[in-house]
Amino acid sequence: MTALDYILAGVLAVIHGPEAFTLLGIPVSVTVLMVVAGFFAGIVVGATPGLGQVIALAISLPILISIFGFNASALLPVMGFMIGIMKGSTVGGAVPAILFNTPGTPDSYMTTLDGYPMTRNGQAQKALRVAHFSSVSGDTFSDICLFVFAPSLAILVERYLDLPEKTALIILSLSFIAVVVGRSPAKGLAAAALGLFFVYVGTGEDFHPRLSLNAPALADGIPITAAVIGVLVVGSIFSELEKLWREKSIAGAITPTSQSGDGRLHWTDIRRIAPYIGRSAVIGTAIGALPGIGSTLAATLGYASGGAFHRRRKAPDEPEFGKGAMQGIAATEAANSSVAGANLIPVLSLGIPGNTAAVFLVLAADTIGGFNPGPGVFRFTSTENPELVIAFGLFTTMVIANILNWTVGGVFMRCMGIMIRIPKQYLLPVVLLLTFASLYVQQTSMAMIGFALFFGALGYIMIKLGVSPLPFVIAFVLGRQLESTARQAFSATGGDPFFLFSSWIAVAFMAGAVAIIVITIQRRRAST
Amino acid sequence: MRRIHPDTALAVILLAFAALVLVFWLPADTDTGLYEIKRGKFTIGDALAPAFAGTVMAIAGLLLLFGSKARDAPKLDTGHVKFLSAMIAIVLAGMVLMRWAGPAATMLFADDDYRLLRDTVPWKYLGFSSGGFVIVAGASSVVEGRFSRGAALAGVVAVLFIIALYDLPFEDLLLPPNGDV
Amino acid sequence: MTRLLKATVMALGLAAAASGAAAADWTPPGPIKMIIAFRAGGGADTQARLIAEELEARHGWKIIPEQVTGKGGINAALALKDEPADGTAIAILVTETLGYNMVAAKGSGLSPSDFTGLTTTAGFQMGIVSKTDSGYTTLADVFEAAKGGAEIRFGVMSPRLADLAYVVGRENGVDFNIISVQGGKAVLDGVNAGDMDVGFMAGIQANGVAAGDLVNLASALSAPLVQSPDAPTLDAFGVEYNADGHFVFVGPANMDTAAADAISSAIAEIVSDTGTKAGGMIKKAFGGSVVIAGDELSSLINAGYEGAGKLMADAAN
Repeated sequence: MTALDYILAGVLAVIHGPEAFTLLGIPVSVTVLMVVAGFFAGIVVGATPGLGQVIALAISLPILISIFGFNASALLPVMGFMIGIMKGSTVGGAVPAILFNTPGTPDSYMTTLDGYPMTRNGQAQKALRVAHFSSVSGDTFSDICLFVFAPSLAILVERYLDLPEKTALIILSLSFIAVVVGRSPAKGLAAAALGLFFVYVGTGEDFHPRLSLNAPALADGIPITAAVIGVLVVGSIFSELEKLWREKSIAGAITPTSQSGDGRLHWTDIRRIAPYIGRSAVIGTAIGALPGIGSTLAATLGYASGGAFHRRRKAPDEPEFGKGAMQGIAATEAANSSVAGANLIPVLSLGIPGNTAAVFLVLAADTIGGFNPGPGVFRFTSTENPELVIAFGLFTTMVIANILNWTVGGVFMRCMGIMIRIPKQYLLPVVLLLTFASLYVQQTSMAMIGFALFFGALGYIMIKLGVSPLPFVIAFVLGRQLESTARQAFSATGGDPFFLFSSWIAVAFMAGAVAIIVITIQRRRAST
Repeated sequence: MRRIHPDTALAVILLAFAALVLVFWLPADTDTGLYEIKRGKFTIGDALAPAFAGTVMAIAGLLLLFGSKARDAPKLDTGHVKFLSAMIAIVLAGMVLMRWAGPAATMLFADDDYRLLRDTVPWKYLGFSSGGFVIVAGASSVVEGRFSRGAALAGVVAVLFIIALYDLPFEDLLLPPNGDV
Repeated sequence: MTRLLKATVMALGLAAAASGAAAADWTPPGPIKMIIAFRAGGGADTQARLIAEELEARHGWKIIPEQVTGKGGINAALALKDEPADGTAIAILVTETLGYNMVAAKGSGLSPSDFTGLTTTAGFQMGIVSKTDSGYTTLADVFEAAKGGAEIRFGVMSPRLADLAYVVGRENGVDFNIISVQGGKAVLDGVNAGDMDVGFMAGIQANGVAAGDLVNLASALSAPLVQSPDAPTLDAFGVEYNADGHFVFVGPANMDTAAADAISSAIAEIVSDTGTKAGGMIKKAFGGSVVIAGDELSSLINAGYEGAGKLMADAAN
């Protein structure tokens, strides 16, 4: 099969897959239906303060797997739904930020800076439209970069990297993520080390389950889902509940402001915000392609760079950034949305998930089986390589989600203001129980709930100590792969103890791993 | 007495844990060493990867111990500890109920073992309903500082909602604790 | 609606079974836990789930599949060992778990006498495989290349196969770099990516061989492979061991005879019937069903357990 055949097969796998129902004589495939459902669910979740895409992904995964089963035909519907959630929640997060000055997701904090002033000036509708337009533009740009770069990068990786280099690459990625994500490189390193330690409990090659203290629950290691969801979801639910507990009074009354103007986005408006969107989309995509650096940094940089540009260019009667400038919303939303697509570049081309959304795609693929995100996917073989078809199917679901986003996403998003009325002190405990139940149904053992509680407590403590949970999670997800690749590389080189320095590429990766740690620590030291 | 900087405390904990892992836990609880000779060749043993993790942990501890300290470094206060303990207690209580409410009830009121009734209404819901209610209503009550009608309602709704979500539509899905018995 | 449907299917299934099978004489006292020792999503797991589905449809039994993976099936065996022996708990493993792995996992304290063999479902089509464009056509070419100075990386997915690969090399004066990975898919990926030169594959190579991308250099079984009957067996290379192995259902020790008979004949019927989803899948993925039950199975399992020590000792030299 040629590349074109594969792309076509991917598109067809999505559109012509098993049929869900017929709409006006046109059959709608299950995968398309799932993308649509995920997209709308994502908007709702994003617009609900306290929830977010991570929680939504954690809870939907076991339900989706129960619906579709453990076989390769489940991959596209399940991952399609997840892609929908990712895209939808990115857009939805702007709603409470603009309308109520409460960011629905951490990335939307910058959106409040200009979004809420616009609402107070009576331009809420316009602010929402600007946010939506910028978000979708950034997202689309980022996806296009993903489609182009992921396959080419993967082919390079497969061609030039042998087992020792692959080992070194994982070490480089981990050290990069550890020191770059949080404010303190040392804490990031500690989080990564903890993640590695816990994933090595009970695993290993020997028949004795190492470090398991003879506990049967640890004999096959700590389930990745329990640890990841514990740290990310349970930890953040505890943290949010604690904030409410401290405040005691639940979110004050919402005072509506009277709205003026037609609230529409005119061609002149688009022309005014376009340069900001372009700038931020490039920044967001570049940042997204690096593992570990999240959309929050992208939003900050996008806003800062847009702000500098705005000071030079703005007309005298236009508001400044922070005073209700729509360019500010555009700069932020385009930047944080354009991270999403590019974020999948490392996971699809290197097999290294760089952020939480990618972690969940890996979990889904891992649970269902039949698809290993990584460079091996992009092998254009003469006989059909089913994983490659899935990869192009995944790209197709992203395109579908984008089309939805362009067409109906904005309308739906603007109805989501009501989500803020849900009382968090009840919602979050319900989500907590839902999380426990969803872990249990995946691997029916009370130990799953125990693990989730343990890692939830750990996640909570990490949040409170200013340690980013991301290095922990990514180290946990990559830990087994790191060990097995190292073992394989060692055996493959006939037991060469210096296999990590056996070629110039491996040496370069290892040097990079050390350099990034040293440089980051020195720069942080200089800045304090 | 000078107050200990939170980063210093964290560093000490990390170093102690790394030492525990490297010096005691690893040697006692792995069968193969850092490397072993198998089939005439050196191979990597089961202790190497955890030893690497422990070493990185120790390095992180040292960096934290001797690194520059921010004045506003976040730290745990008694409020954090109190709240977390309350959450853990509630979830643990819920887990105990989930696991044992059903078997206890069958012992008292049914002829069969719980294991044989784990697919039969109402027995199969007893553990999840009681434990789930405690977790949701308990957590809400802690946050609100009192037990309210809203919290109780949230507990009931959550339990019903999750049963409707997982159990009714899917024959193969098991709610806690029905896979453990 | 689905319940009604299920009830009808169940009634039909019961009627069909009553006509001859022993299954009808026995009703499980509660839901049956089916422990699956394989990772979700692979061929082995799919096989188990399809069998469970068909058992439910035919006999109206309630089957609850549960994954217990790791340590070459030892974890699953440990999970099954202390379950009640009334037919409400069974597991699907590979015979290697009850043989080599139980011998190797001394600490687990397990032996085949802790279990009741029910029936095998299929055998492995275990071959030694390389990419076609490596230029090798038989294992002899690999030995020749190795003697010419090439370093040969040999992918394996279990300690027993690692021992076997080592002995195969040693008997032919070759020192392979043996790479252990988790699962046959990882060997396939490794060979495809060029990280390994040759590897053991237990049926997963079928599509690649059919398409001409992969080649079976040798059969690792005591008999030739179905797909490549011309590939030599290992005894042609002076190796007395082989990688014969089967998927096998077992129950805890001293299982209730009626339950054991009913379950094993019910499973045997399903896997032998290529009209069922399970049977069809086994035909496609594992080259057809292989049903060994009763005393024959017991002696197969015991022979595997007793023979394992010999290979282990030989490979330790």
